[in-house]
Amino acid sequence: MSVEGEYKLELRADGATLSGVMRLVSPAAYRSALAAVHDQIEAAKGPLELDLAGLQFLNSSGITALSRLVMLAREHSVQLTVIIDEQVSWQKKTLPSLARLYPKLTLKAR
Amino acid sequence: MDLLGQVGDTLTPQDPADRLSNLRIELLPIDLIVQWRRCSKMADFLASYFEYHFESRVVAAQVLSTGLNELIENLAKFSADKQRPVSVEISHFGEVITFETQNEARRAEVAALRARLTRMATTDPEELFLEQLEHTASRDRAASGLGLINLKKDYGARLSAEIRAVPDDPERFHVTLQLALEVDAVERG
Ligand SMILES: Nc1ncnc2c1ncn2[C@@H]1O[C@H](COP(=O)(O)OP(=O)(O)OP(=O)(O)O)[C@@H](O)[C@H]1O
Ligand SMILES: [Mg+2]
Repeated sequence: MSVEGEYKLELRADGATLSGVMRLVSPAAYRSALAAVHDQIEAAKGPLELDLAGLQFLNSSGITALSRLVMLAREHSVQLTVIIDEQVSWQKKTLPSLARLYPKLTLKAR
Repeated sequence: MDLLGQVGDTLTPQDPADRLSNLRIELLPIDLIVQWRRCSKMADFLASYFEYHFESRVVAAQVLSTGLNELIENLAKFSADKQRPVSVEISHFGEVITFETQNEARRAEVAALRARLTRMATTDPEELFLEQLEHTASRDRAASGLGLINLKKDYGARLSAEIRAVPDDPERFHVTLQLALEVDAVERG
């Protein structure tokens, strides 16, 4: 588990949970913060689950970073399920558009 | 390419006398650069100041904070002189709420902003969103360039900029960026 001020990243065997507020300065900053999730996708032997339901805010550089994770899963044909909370505005609005990048990505409401 | 003048969506002119509320803050970008979290704090503060206008306060605060945070981050990143004051102003007109930022920026940023707003005024934001993500993933991995597109896509924000010359400096321009949100869109989230 790592805590960087306002957000929290917890790794599980079959995925990760991101919660709090994530508004980092650039895609590069997200690349370092989410390196462990990149590694999980690259090494995945089965489906992965990314739980974002507790992520109150993610800025647009973070959306870009998240799209890179989705594209990485696409490249490695990893089945990815993203857990969302539809009460959180950005999740309801932005994540369905991101899902269009990869047909094997499933959004699941918490 | 001429950089000066108005670009983007045509916003309905609002009479300042019709404002239900208004708040303008001036700050130095350097403070945001030194402590990046100040962008988020400022956005959250402004959002919580204005949330009382809305029935679904929690939702409205999320939407307002999301929009303001993107514009404030842009002030931090794209102001030419980080020690020169920039401003952010929020006005509530009843059916529409507007955010206006002012800063000075270099030619390259102004050209990029103009090109972006021109394209956004005529292209479906959902399409631009996917195009921008594929573009940066394959050709420009340090870039994001998604903030303004995303605000239009998710909340129907209308965006317009006015570019003016800075006297005695042909490489710098004064940027007034305006973003207008329907109050209904803020309320719905
Ligand atoms: N206040 C501003 N002054 C000058 N140029 C700006 C300003 N805001 C945006 N721009 C220009 O418009 C481009 C698009 O802005 P946008 O916020 O969409 O993307 P970004 O800030 O580069 O990336 P992201 O918001 O996804 O982190 C910027 O890259 C910059 O060149
Ligand atoms: Mg931005």
